[in-house]
Amino acid sequence: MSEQHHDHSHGDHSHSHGDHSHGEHSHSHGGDAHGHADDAAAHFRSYIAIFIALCVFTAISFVFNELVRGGIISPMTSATVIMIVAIIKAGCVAYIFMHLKADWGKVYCIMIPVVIMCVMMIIVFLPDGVLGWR
Amino acid sequence: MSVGHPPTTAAPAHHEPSFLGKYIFSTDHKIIGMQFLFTSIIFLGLGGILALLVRIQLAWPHAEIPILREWFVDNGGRMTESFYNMLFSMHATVMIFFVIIPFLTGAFGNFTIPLMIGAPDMAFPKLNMMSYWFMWPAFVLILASFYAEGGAPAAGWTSYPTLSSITMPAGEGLHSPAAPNSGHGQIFWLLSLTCVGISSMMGSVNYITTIINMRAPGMTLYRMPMTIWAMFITAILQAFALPVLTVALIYQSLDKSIGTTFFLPDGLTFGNWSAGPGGGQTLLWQHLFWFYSHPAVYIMILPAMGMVSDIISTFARRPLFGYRAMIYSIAGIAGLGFIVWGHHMFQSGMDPRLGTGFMIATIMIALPSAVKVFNWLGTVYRGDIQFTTAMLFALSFVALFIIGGLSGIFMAATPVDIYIHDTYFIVGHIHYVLFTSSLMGIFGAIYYWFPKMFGRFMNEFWGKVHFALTFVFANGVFFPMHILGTAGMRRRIPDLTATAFESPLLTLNQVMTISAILLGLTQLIFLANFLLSLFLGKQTTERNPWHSNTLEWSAPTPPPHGNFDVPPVVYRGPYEYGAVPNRTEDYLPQTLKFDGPVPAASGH
Amino acid sequence: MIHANDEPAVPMGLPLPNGKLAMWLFLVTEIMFFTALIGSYLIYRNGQPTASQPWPTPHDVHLAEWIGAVNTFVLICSSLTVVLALWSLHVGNSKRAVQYIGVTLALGCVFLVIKAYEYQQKFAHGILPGRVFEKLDSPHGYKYMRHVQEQLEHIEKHGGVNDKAKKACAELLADIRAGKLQPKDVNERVRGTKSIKETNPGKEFITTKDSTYVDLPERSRPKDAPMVEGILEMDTHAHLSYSIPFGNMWASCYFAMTGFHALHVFGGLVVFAIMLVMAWRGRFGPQNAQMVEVTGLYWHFVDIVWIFLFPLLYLV
Repeated sequence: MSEQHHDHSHGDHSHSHGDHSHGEHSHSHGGDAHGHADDAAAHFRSYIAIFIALCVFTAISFVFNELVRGGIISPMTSATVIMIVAIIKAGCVAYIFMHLKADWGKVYCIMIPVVIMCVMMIIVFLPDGVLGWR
Repeated sequence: MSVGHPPTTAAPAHHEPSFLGKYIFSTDHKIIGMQFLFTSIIFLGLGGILALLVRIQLAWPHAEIPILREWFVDNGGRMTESFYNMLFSMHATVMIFFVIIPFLTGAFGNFTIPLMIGAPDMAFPKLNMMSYWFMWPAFVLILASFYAEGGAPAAGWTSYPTLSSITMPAGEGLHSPAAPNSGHGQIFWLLSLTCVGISSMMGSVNYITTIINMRAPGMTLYRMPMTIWAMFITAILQAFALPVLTVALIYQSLDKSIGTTFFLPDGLTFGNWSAGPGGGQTLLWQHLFWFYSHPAVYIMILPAMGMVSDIISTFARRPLFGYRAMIYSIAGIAGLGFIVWGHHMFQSGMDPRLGTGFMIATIMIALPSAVKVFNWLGTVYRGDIQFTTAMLFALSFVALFIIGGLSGIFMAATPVDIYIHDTYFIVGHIHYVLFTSSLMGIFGAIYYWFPKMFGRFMNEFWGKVHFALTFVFANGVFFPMHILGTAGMRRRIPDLTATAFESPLLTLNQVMTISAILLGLTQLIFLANFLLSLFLGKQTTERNPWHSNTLEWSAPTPPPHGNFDVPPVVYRGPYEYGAVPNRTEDYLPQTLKFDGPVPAASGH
Repeated sequence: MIHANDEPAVPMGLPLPNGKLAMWLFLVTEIMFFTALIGSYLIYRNGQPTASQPWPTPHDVHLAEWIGAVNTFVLICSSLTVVLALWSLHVGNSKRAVQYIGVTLALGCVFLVIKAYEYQQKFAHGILPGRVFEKLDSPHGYKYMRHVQEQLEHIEKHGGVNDKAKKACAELLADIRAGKLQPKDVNERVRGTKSIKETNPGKEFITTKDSTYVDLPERSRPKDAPMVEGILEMDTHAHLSYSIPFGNMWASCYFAMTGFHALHVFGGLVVFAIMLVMAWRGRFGPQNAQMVEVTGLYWHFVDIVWIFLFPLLYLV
């Protein structure tokens, strides 16, 4: 696996624009063969670590939900924790599994607007949809 | 020219595909663009006929309808009110979703993007083909809705619940107790628009990818023509806004089919029949709908602005004034366009705290729009103007967009909007923006790119006749709408003689209707010119008949599959027109390597 | 225009392959799509429901949190396997990659099967849009009473509940037939008030002046009112309907959100199946890394959506 795979096999137009290099050191392929194995092992470890973190976070949100049932913490606290945990989990998946760690510099200009747009849309709906009924 | 294609023949670069493969199931962006072009022209005819019927009813509310009178035997040969409702609802739907948007992003987006950035085709040609063929279910459904039980939808193109979405309880059929037209026809409408949405989504992803990744060497972002910038930003608008409309459409069709109550509030009753459990929010539909449909207004104007910028610069033989300002103003309009949707809802009972914010954001849109207008004027000023038909349409775009834009500012201010909301003032506004601006821009673009598309010119004389008559009659139809609106004439009212305050407005309506009929007949001149020129028009003898700078003119005419015989390399921006030392021509094509001084926009 | 004319002809564009860029753009549209779904859910949920007429709890609508948690775990596992498939391709182990894709496909199927089981539960209990009984004032209430009567007659004929519940059913049926009961009494005797404290932790018993919607016993009863043991408390498997305020809205949102999510899962599974077919025909190898990567992006996105749906629907 010494050559880089940046052909456009997925797109149905194989227009190669020269160097679509993935050769960042943080990305799993590319680079010279030497140090490649270390790199690959590091990636494997990071994937497993994220997987374990995701499982733990899922357990945390489940436990917090049960704690409310037991009357130990208030529903508001638990809801906050659970939503923060969800955001962290989504961030983990996006950052490591979706390779945003390596690709953020290339896609931030579409991701930042869409995140702003999502949050804004929900917030603007609130006065009519929620506060109007109070 | 080493590849050896004669510059003016249509020899495809590869094997000769069958007729079906070449013109019907084509993956070539130019053919797909033309498919969009032809279907849009057909739907323009349909939408126009619907508009004329609306106008006839408004002008002579008690007259028998000349041709359709057998349809209304029960009503004494006169149009029924629900038929009138259906007419204006379908007129707007057809014109917006099947004419203007496919014209701009479908036809010209497809045709211009790869050619103007120097790419052999779109990034995903098959996806591109799918985006056209996904329009066909939409075409079929929207036409089928006319024949549906109860007729085509009649709740306006905005389809506000509860009028549009009131349903029978789960499992009791799809008929609507509210209005007969809100039954099957409305469901067809919803499904049809969902298909349009999917098609546009595919198109927008494809356009953005193509523009970002497929540009010719040297074609930096700030060397792209305004058409491409406009298409790019339009595609972004579509990608962001359309999914929200899709959700709203799906929710409403679920409300109508399986008994959900997303948009049906508590305690809704019709006669002695109760509309299910309720719990939904009618206002949410308006929010979701306008979250898409306000950006859609910009989807319907920005590409026209881009194309007009190119046409004006080409025929004024002057660099586009303030190229970067034009880009930033388009981006500004698009960005602000996402936070102004509430100005459609000032009268809906929306939270007033939101209203103020929306009002301020809306008024701010006037700034980038004004920048654009002044830049067009700055481009034309002291230009060596060639009054071709395309240029005439482009100039009238600028002139009439000013009217449409200014009347928009009226509506942006909540206090004024409360008075003129749902009057003919707003009808006048949208027609100034969509007909006399967008459609004028589209006509200009057709006259401008026709030689490149088909290798023949359209007839200039009849083109100018078409322009002059369209200009006069369009203003004849749409300008009085402002007067009527301020006089209090309500939108969507079939019979003006029903109220004392609207009855005196009948005469002016008759003038408008006569204007509208003549406007419709004028378009037959265009149609004849278009169709005859396809086969009989003067053949183009050179690749670049308008002496334009942009890349598409360096391709063979019509461009073969794969577009360019010599892969283009870009050395300069797209608007370097004007006399230069050491050069006889007054233009510097983007592919030209030239070391001398270049013309610059004054004050730049 | 001040551009120098003799720049080298450098290629334009982002250092991203078209397929990957297009997938990110597609994900942008998907993010907006699911934001609209989730946003309207938040609005429905936080808008009209009040303290006396709250949004249904998972228990009200027969939703088991642990099933959702298991499904979350399944999707997280599948996310891991798909990223490991890509990793295996990059280290040159195509065979292992195919195995990972197979596991991903299997996990996706497990997710859908669990989802189908959940849906089946909803169908069995009539938790469907437009079919949940909410208000018990007439005429809805009498419709509700007729419905319960039919259910009781079915139980009387076919059994299917334990003895204690069967006896209570017979009594309730007799009382309904005798015309002694108001719809809300029927609701109370079906649902009971005994286990309220357990199923509604942290919620105060509210006495409300709002007499329009006092059909839910547990939330509108004074503290000293006698507790009723409902048939559903005697036998949780009895198929008897009870009033759930906003139950229709809940069901609408639930089916819309999880339904579209499940459709997306299904779409991903189709692509994984195609990859397996390619592998079976021997046409799958390192040259497909981009296909795996792009599909993986989509699959992770589907996972992220579930990461938000799970707490919103099952927990919070």
